[in-house]
Amino acid sequence: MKYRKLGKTGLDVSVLSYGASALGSVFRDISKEEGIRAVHTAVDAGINLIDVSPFYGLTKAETVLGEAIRELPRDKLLLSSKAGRYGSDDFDFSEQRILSSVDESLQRLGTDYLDILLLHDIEFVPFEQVLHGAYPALDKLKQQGKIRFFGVSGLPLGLFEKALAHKELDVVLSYCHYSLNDHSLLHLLPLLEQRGVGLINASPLSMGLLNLRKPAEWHPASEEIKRICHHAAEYCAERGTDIAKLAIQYSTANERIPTTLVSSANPDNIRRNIEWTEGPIDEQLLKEVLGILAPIHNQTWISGRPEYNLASEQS
Amino acid sequence: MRIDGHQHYWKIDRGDYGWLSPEQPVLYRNYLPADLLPHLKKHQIDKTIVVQAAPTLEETEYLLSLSTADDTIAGVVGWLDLNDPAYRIHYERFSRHPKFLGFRIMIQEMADEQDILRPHFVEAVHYFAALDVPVDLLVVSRQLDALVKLLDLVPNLRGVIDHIAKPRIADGIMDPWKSQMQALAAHSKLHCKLSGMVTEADHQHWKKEQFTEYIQHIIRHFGTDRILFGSDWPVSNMAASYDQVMEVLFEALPASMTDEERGRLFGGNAKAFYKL
Repeated sequence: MKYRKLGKTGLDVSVLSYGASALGSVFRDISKEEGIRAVHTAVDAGINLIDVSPFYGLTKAETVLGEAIRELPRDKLLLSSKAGRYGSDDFDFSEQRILSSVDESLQRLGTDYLDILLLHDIEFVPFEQVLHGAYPALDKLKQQGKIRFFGVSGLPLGLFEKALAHKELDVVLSYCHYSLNDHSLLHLLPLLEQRGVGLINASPLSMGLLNLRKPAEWHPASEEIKRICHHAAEYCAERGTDIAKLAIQYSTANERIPTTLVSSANPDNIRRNIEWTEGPIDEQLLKEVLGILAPIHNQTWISGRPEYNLASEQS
Repeated sequence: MRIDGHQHYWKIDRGDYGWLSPEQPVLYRNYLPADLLPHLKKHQIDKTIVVQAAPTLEETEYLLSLSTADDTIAGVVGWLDLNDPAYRIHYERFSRHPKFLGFRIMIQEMADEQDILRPHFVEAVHYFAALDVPVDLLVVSRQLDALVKLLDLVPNLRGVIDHIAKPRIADGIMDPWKSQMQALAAHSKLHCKLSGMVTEADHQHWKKEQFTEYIQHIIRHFGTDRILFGSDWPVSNMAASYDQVMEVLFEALPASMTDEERGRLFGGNAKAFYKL
């Protein structure tokens, strides 16, 4: 496993990191055990950053992750969790709620500090709530030693500029903007590098768009994006390879993207992802697939309030 | 409401003006609201648009703090460096101040004006066009070719050309400024400030009639809805008094201009352009 610096935090993070959201959908005991083995497989292979949120499985992911890391040495892990989002339409970025949320997360995770706390999907609330509620809470939590570093997460790239204008953030988490079909995250890199902000990239498969199986019904992408991504997946399959391999290799290859989260509750999937990361990329196939995806290149979808989405449309 | 759409304030010892030096005795002193107030009163001007004079974020912050304390300041046109990767976050911060109106691109100060056509710069201009932010464009006439190209790339920019793009009034030369300004006027959101003209003429020996054709050319092509009066005080002091700046403009206005159209030139258009 390769490691890269996470901005000014000074943390060395594995280029592939573990997204625990999949642990939120394990309900039977057998799948829970499998999920726990997936976490152990990841950590054994050198993955040191694990990201979760109380929103995933409505606290279930944190609970299962807490169980998974109970016997692991805490100081070898970098734990990242979130606060502010608790359901599809349930947001609370008030100072009080952020403070209590972290206490609850710590309890579920069985630890006394988070390495990273991210304000989760801030594009769904007026920025004033973040500015006057959650931001002061971040400083308090850091002073209290409950979190080491903080930042924000969300989809529209414009939100990061808004967020960084009013606070020096250590880390940001962006998803669906550095994958085969969307490289718009590259536009944000000069700013993040200037400010020393650590970047976590997530959803290298664009939340299931880059998959032989059709994406879930709720997937917010346009029909055209879905169709062309699916076509690219078929193209890879016809050549005997999985588009996920190309996608993971592509997203983890860029030295300017410190780490990319993949989520799975299946140990074999995790093992495969790690092996892919370490193998050479098929340059010819990459060129062909990028060609197939060109018509929808950097096309995204609206998430949250319009004022955050204006900026990303221009990126 | 009558508005002076373009003037400056500065406090020399702030120290970031660069272009201001003791060799310019008229300008090298503090110019603050108390100095302008008598002129505003005399010409029944209620408010002014204060425009940045230094290429720093600090000066914009200074002007914003000045605007909070002074009722005659309708708003501030600040400074942003569109080459700075952080330009959007500086904009975001400024935009939360109630008197921040927009910013000015100082093409005049660029070593190579073609730099405004570089992809990242055009993308930045696109960004502000999408946000419909008023952008002042400080350009000298020999740079107009680049500005014409920029507007072709970003035709929906809410822009205003400062000082009628500084044509060569002292030499009486009008081409190719005329055709370039005509081309620019075709963009329906682009405005033009009838400002800063006396300093483009011979400072000591200008005559009122020298400006007429320049001013009328602008009005002919931009119409009466997209022109803004600005004194460019105190820079104008190098060549004329505030009274003379007003006289020059009055003299050149076409007789056909109605009172209502004049009202827009002296306030209404600035109010609409800067969304006051």
